[in-house]
Amino acid sequence: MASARATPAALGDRGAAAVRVWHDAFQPPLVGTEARLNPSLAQSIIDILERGILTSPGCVSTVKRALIFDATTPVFSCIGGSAHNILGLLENERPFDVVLPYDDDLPRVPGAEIVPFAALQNTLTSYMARSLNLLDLVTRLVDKPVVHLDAPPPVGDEAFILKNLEPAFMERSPNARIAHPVLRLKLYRMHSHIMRTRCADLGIDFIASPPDVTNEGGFLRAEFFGENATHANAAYGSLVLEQIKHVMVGGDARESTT
Amino acid sequence: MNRHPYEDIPPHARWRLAMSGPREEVDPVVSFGVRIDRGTKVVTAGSCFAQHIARHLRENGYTALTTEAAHPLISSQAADFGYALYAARYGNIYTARQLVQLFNRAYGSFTPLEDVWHDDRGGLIDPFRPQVQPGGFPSTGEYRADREQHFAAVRRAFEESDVIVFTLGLTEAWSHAVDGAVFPVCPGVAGGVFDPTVHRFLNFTADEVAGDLRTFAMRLRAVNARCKIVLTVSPVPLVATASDSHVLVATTLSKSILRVAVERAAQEIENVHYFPSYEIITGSHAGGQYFASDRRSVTEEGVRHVMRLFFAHATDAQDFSPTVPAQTASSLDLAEEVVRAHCDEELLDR
Repeated sequence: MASARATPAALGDRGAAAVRVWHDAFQPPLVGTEARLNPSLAQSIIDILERGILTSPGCVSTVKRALIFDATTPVFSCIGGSAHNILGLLENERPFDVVLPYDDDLPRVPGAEIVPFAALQNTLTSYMARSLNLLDLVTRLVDKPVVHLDAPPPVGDEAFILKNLEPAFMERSPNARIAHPVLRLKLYRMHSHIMRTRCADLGIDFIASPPDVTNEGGFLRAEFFGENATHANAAYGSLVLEQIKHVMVGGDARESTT
Repeated sequence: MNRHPYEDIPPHARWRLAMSGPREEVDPVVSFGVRIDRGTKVVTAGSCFAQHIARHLRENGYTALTTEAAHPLISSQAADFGYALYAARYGNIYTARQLVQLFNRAYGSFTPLEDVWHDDRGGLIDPFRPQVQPGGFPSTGEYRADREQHFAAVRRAFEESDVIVFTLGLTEAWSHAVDGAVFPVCPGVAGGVFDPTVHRFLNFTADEVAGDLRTFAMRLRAVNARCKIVLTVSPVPLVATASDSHVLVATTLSKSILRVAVERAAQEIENVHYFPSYEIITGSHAGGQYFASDRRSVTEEGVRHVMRLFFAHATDAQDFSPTVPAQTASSLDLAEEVVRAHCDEELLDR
């Protein structure tokens, strides 16, 4: 794929993990690579998407100009990654559960009603629409490899979540409780599945979260907890960088998946 | 001057008086033994025509009991996934035998041998409600979990209802030759594989339908002694017949059998009542105007006539507020508003 001297570009609207990749992990530069960010890129594309003027040649060229990197440089997408938390980090007034066809051995949430998988997946996909559209747009506009990095796994520790919950969640539902961890894990996996499927449709590589960051239950290990309930930390970002480096030196992106 | 029994009959008993007005003023309901107020919990079940009763009850502030509602997160997809049509997600129930079977399955006294179908893309289809899950259930785990949840909702519907309105649609059905399970639609149409050595065509007689209604009433009373049963016959003709008859002749036979069986049930079983929606739609006063251009689908105007009389005779409503489709809708649109009722039977025509 790209040479070791090439410049990786990361883009996306994901929070701490992506920011770590952008700001911390790339500073100082990766060994053998020069990191470069374009923090306004994602927002400019989102703005264009939201204004609905994609058909304007001028706007398309603007986006293309914004995406000018080394011609052989892969673009690493950190797009999206929060929709599953919006859907189910807090316990719903009608606690629900879902059976994942690809993980149907996961336990049931006690006392929760089963929601049809296909219907819930449609709902989550609609929550992810902006991210999916953005990924689609980037893939169409750049003439270079695009690799999507999956979001970090969920935190299982309810006490940590309660202590570090982002204000936006509490503002929305001040008295809400944290959803059952099994549901949160299922929604994360559904989110990953949707993104992985879209990547396959777009012909781009999908890199799952780094191996060994989860405990036996599938939740993020405590040493990778971030500053808040939904993000990972710099140590997690370093492992993602290893995945990026692997791709940058010509490795198969899929080899770095779990 | 000779005296005879017809001298003093009431106006409703004399055709010239009862049937000479405009079609929308014809009212064949003489007395109706069920009263529904806004707190009465009504469960509806039956053929596709039954869906309109629950819809109009809800939209007029009455309690169409729902024991298996779509979760708010998927509410925009509720109709596609078989919610919001009836109390629970049981789909259309065309025959009285199916109704008895649903009761028995929900309470665990009957488990059909042919209990799941597999479609070409790996989806699992519930043979007894083949259209509630677009694309089928994606896993056995979900299929079983959903079935368990569904049966619990069915039991609650039977046990908590004050009134059950059941609309009989068909006498023709397909059954499993070994255990007698009846399917809402012929195997092979909406899933499954038709096997002529296993799947048997039935055309229920009036005795059989009346017997099934009696069995259902008896079993219902065992779990809910106070519940009243309202029977109606769907005016919608058969979309197709598996008999040797012309579909019109088969329809007449089927509806006649249902009408006789329902009459017997209403006469012989305590707290069972008949509401004449069939006559309101098909009577000569309507001149066929309550059917759309396909001569089968009931128009919204016809449904409104039925529901206006239902509200007038069964409820304390001062005014019936029909659900009126968009004002710009053409008459064809109005007809299609009814066609959009979810009907498994329609699949026979594809």
